Amino acid sequence: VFLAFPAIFPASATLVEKHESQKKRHAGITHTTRGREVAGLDAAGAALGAIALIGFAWIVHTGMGRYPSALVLAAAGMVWVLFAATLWWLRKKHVLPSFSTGSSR
Amino acid sequence: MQLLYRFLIGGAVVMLFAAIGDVLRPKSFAGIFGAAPSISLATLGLTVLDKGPHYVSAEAKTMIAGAVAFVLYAQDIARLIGGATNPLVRIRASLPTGRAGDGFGSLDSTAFWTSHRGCVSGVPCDLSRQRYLGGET
Repeated sequence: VFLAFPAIFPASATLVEKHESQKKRHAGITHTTRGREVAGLDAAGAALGAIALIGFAWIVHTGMGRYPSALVLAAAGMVWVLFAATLWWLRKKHVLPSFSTGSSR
Repeated sequence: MQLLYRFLIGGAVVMLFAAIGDVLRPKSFAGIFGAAPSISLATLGLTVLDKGPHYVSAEAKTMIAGAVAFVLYAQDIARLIGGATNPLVRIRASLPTGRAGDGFGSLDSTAFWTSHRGCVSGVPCDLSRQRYLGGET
């Protein structure tokens, strides 16, 4: 189960929020929700990546033992990238529901 | 020795995906790399060599459950701090509102990643609530 542990996302979301808030503070804006909104976008993107992660795990589960291991891992990685990018594109084109916080940034 | 390899390779893969996510724009696309199969790519390759492909296949089966939990966890975060809406959020938004709806959101994390308060996915979720919603639970 912990192979799908969110290792990168919490750190990146925290950093993104911090950087965006700092940018606004440097511009003289003290009260802003910009950092929070961008972190929310980051989280929504991570949700799409996590859906693609299900595809990755499924490919590894079904392919291991039947095909060469290196090939299965490479194919699963490619499927993850393509699946995640396709989901993001579908949402950008409003085929999937879009963000309520505004346009994608 | 294998633990050392795992540590080094895992760290390198996590850093690689984190760097990719940091430079890409727009942020919603970069966020995808927050859910990159970093730990799994680092671990599965070594596990294949050590225990064989059938063992890895069984591991990947349970990883599917972990990935489903990750989806719900990221949805929770997006809903709490960004107000993002997409299909899963909408499904949950259509459920009973108020405390009951909130409880269902908590259940996502609880069921798969132990507790909403204090373990795995629960920690950032709770932090975000305290930080952005003024301690509202």
